[in-house]
Amino acid sequence: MTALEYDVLVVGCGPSGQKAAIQAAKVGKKVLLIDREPRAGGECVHRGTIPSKTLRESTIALSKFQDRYGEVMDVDLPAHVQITSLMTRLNTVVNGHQRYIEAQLERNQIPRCHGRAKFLDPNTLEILSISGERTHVRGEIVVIATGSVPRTPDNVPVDHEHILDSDSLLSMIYLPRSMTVLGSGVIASEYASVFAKLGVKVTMIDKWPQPCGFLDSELTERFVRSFEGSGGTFMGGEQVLNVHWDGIASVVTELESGEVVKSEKLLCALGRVANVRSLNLRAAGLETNSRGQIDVDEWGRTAVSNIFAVGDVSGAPALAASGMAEGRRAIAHALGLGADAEPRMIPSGIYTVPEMACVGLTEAQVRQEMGGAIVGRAYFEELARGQIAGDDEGLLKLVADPDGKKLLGVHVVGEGASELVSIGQMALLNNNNVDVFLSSVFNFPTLAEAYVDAALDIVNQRRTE
Amino acid sequence: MNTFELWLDDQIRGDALELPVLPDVATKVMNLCASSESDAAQLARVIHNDQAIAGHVLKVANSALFGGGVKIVSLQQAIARLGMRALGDIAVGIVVRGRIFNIDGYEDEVAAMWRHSVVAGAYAKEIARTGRRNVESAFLCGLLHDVGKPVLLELILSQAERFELSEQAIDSLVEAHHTRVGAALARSWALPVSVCESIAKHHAWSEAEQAAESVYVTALADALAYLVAGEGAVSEEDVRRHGVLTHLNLYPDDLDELLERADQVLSTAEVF
Repeated sequence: MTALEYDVLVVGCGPSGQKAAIQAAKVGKKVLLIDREPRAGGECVHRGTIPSKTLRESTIALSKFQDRYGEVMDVDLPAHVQITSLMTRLNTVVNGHQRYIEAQLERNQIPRCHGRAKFLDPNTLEILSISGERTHVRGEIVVIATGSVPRTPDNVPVDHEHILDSDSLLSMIYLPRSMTVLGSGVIASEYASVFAKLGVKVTMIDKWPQPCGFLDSELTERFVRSFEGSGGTFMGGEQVLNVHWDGIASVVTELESGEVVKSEKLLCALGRVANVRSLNLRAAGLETNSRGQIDVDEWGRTAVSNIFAVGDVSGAPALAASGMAEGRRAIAHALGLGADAEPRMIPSGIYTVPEMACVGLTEAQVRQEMGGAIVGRAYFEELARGQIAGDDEGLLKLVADPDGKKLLGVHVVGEGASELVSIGQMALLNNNNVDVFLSSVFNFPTLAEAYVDAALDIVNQRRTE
Repeated sequence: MNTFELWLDDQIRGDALELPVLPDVATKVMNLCASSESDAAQLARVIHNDQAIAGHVLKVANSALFGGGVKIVSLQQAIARLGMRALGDIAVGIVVRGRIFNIDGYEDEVAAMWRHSVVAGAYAKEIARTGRRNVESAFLCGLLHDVGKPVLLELILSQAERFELSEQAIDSLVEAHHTRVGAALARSWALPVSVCESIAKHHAWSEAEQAAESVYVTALADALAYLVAGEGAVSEEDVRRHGVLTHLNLYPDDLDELLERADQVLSTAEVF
């Protein structure tokens, strides 16, 4: 079979694949974008980021309405309310985002091929269509951007009916009375907190002692407190022995400690694995590492010189934002366009309720590396904007060196954390000292003023020492 | 349109169709199953008042599909065994079979319609599972997708003399208009949106707006049911070329898996 020829083949139309394709197209390369889904966007748009954040927005709006008007009118959510009714805007948001992506690809004259790709050799892919037809395409450069899929351990029989994963969770047609969430990473924490806020009795179970262990412990402590305040239970330090549907009305989770947890539904959120199963990597001379990911260098190049891997498929940080940068950089490097250095200071945003975000070093890291740290804190309940918004959970924490001068880390918990952290991110990128916030004027009333209060806290400690 | 079609159109638009009422027991069962306050004892009491459903629930509970070797001897035990929500689906199915798929003189035709519906319901669950979509609503969508057929057939028979309709004409009318009549019935019964849309749009799935995913699943379930239990009504090639596969994003190997489950699906039909 004759192969159609391209300059660049991109497999996967998620954030990293899109940006790789567009970068190549903008310099006049002939590009083909292949995806197993009929519409553009990848897991981010179809089953992940966009739908879950839309649910979160609806939950936050309902929660705020209940908080503010609960004493005046009955605003309890009926038990039979379907999740889909909470995501009334979901289709609008997803379709809008897909249209935007597809329009952008169209403008850059990038054809999309709906099918499943596998390698025949390092430069040649076979694309299998839904109807069973096979097409061969050949590219000088191939970019693997196939993303990731939920990891399903052997002892968790996901059936998408009683035992769900993050792909099937959002197609639930009603709110369960109770739900067990296995895992304590970002996805587990996000969904656990959202469903707890909706009145579901949520039990989070994981081997780690705290959720999102990579975050500053003050943030996770606040998160757990808020989660438990919504009726949730966090069971850390627990190993799961067995999960099964009892055939009647409950999912039973048996733990090594002897505890047994029963719930109406269970969400298995024990990480994600690279989506490479159908790629036939061996034919390309590639293999995955012990974590099931594809090893790459700082430019995203794999062990095979014409093949790049970007986004979740190549491992951490596995964020849409970083994936986009990786896609652009890989192509820029491959085509000799003078790629930017690897981005520094990539923030983390965790869309839990309350939201959490951070950039730079944690307090523990600074203390370990430098033998000490000065930490400044600002509590949202002490800010005018926080009081107006009724946010009594928020905290902004600045971590400085032992002299209290150099800013090393920013950590935020509370509404708008993922936006607020960007201010600190820019300060870190510019190697600003803590004092930069004292010489800046922020709008009043805003949560951004927390930077001033936290900086003052550091300065006061500096004077005392 | 012929005269009967004009009359039917007029009846539907004017909301004047004489449709079967959802029996009170089914409404109570569905409401109890959806309520967080209800328990098995309440459900048992409601079902116990309708002998037909009570007997059938026990039969289903003791079937190979649900049974675990333990003989179920009471309604409360049956409810505990099957679960509240699954029982809701079964109760609606049993009621629909008894009251709707039951026309004197057309027993064979209606039995075939019912068997097709049950196979479609069972397949809808498997399709949803394969596509990593939620499985729970799929069964009812598949089970009721052709509920308009017996209702329309009965309606036509009640008007046959007036409109002088031949057997061939009756068959054509049922095929052509069962979705509209089924949709009207589903609305009058206040069934979930996904079920109403699946009934209305499973032949015109590209026009699905609300609950599009459920409609796609039901459309494919309909085709698969015809393939495995339709005596040649649809070929495997027809199914493999079904336009809805793109929307469900099911590849040839996904379809292979679904076809491998045909025996399991057909055994479900025997239970009902």
